[in-house]
Amino acid sequence: MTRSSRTLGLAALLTAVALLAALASARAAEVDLDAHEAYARALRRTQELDARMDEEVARSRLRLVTHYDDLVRVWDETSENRAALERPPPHLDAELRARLMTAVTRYGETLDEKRALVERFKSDQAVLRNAMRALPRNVARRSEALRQAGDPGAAEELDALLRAVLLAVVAPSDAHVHAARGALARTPPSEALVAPHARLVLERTERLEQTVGRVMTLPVSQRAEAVREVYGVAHAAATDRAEARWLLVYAFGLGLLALGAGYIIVRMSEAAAALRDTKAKLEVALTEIELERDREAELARLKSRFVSMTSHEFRTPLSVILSSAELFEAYGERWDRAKRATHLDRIQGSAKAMSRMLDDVLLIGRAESGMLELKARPLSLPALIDSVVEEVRAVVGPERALEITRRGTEAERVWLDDKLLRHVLTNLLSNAFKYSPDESAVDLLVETDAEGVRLEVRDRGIGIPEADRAHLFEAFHRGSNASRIPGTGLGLAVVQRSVEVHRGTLEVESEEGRGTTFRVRVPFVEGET
Amino acid sequence: MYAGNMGEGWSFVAALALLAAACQTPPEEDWRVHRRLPPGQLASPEHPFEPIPQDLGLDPERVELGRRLFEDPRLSGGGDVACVDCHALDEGGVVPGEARSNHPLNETGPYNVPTVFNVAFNFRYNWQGPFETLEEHLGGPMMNENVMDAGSWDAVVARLRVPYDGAFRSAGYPGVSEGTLKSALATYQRSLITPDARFDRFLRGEAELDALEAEGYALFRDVGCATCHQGINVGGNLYQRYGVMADAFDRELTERDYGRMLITGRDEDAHVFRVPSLRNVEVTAPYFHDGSAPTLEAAVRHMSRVQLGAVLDDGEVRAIVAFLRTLTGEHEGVPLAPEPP
Repeated sequence: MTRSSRTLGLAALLTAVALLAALASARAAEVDLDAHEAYARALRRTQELDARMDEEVARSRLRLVTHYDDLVRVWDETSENRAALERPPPHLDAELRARLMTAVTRYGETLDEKRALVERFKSDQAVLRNAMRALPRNVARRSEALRQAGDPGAAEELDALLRAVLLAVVAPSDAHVHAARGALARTPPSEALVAPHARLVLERTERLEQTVGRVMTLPVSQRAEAVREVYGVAHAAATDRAEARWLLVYAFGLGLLALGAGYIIVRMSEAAAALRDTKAKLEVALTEIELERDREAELARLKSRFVSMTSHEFRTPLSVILSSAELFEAYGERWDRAKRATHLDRIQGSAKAMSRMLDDVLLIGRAESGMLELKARPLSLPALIDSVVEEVRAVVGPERALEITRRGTEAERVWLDDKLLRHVLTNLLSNAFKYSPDESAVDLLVETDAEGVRLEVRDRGIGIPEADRAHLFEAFHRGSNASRIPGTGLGLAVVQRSVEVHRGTLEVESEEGRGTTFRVRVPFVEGET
Repeated sequence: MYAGNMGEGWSFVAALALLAAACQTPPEEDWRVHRRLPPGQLASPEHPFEPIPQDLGLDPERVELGRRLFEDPRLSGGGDVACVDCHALDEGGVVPGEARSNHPLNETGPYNVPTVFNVAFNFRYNWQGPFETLEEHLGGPMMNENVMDAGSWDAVVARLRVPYDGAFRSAGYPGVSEGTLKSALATYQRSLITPDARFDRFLRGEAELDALEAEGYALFRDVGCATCHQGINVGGNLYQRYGVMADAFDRELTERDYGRMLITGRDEDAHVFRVPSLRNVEVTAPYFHDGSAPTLEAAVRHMSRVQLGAVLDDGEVRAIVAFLRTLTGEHEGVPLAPEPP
């Protein structure tokens, strides 16, 4: 996981948290649509219920209805509706809610007032009805009695009272009401069956007119309308707030989606990059494996060549030894002493050559397998060189000229691997003599300094063709111009391995037909000089 | 790496679900029931009455739960008074044989106990009518220290929670609370209706009134009783002054005689009472808020005199009383009074 994907993930997580918070606040501010619908319905009903109430009062007043159950029903519904208005939806803002409740309370107070008026109306209406029913009967009964008692004047007065009262009820003008009151005032209090009813009719009619007038003019509708207005504002505010909160939720949601998509894309590209990386590494590894295989194949090829060449090179001295030995067996008795010596020399020389060759091969093998080790010991360099030169002279003969130059400090003892150095010098000197005409001289330069020794062997012989330079140090490789001169092709390979093990350097400078110069620099083994 | 994303996704969904659950607050419970009169079709200006329906469609489990509560003295503070002690169902829903409320706490209660029958159809409760619903009314007698002295609703709930919790839950209530207690008790009281009075069967055209009853019915309307005693409950739907035409009291006044004025404080409400229902009036003697009329005849005479300014002769009184006896109904199929021989 990289930094960019981690940052994206963190941002997404934070956005998710913000989204949750926004969601919570949006849920808290959410408009409860069911509650709103119910409340709006209750608000709409206020007008209808108030109109029905007025209608029921009017019907009752006109005696179209003579029981109050219908009025009770309208009141029950009004109470229920008012209770609904007292529980506004939960989503309203506190301040607007308080305003709404104030409006609802004012509406309720007006309703209470109206209710008290309606209850008084019901009572008065009942009383008036009974009085209106009783008055004519009682007047009739009383005037009949008065007429029979011989007082038609009093009877006439009662009839007049009845007419005045009825006129005041049916057409309640000031004049009629005044006339009826006058008639009532003239009626003797002894008329207990008439006067109280007449008074009740006049009183209650007047009061009922007032009551009904107040019932009809109470501002119930206006108060309900005020509630409606405040609720409209409060609901709109709540809706706006809820919308704003939801907008925030959508914004965070979109952000989260974008971050999520970005996160996935980054992670996918990271995965693709990782895949490419792995593929490249795999390819490198494959190449290395192939190289290794090539090297191994080369090694195997070298080995088999080495084996075949070795066996080939061994066959020559072996066949010399075999043939000389067979000749010796068949003719040895008859040969003179000189001839016998010649054959014995051949056998000994071939065996020695084989032994040398075996040494060389073993050294090269050890060097190539990394088992040839540097084994330095303190030695005298001039003594070593003298010994090698002597050895080489014994092979090439004393007639060959060797020019030795010595330079630099000659320390008594230096730390060197004398075996390796011997291999180097022996082979270089032998080669110099072998590949140059007998009359030409070979130069040997030995130069020492504080760090090491420099050897330079120069001949004036056949030289090394340009084409052979690349394979100069391969075992059994022989120069194309050297086929007439016997050799194993191991000498330079031994030199090169020996110098290498001694951590020295080897240079060659050659011109075909003019001669070759080998320059070797071998460091003293450090810290032990 | 995508498994990590999935994990985040699930936790997000889980958080959302939790959030939704947290936001989903249960709605505030409202056990307040607004009484509604059953729809009437038979009333006319000439016959301003309605028969009582056979059934109000109440939840039978809640009715049964309310019955148990109604009979349980643990509702009272002393654990010795049950609702049914003052509202005996086999005695017309009033104190059996007593003129007024009479129980261990208050031997001389000031008010004549109104019947519990057909309270579903009353527009207010108690003589002064301070309570609009039966649920509200319960607090009256229960918290009155001279009646049940229950202490407080919290105390009542504490007393009844253990014995009643299961019953309330099986009746569909969330448990025992002031609201659910009131609801159960009020539901039971609403169920106490007395349909099939002979008058109701007459209104439905299923029975005839005999001559005396028919005469009484005619007088009932003609004299003016029916201007107040009308509607489904033959009364119970308005207030009226006690003593419109004459002083109703022939004794010294006490506080209870001021009626609704005690509630409203207005002089004009002096001696104003809730007009009682006349249903089953035959079995709810004595009569009036103070129980001052021991018989129907006395009540009819008193009412016609002080309310209507009418003096009825014995025959008229007998006829009206005969009519009033047709208002006696049946509760759960059993007549509240034996049929006249």
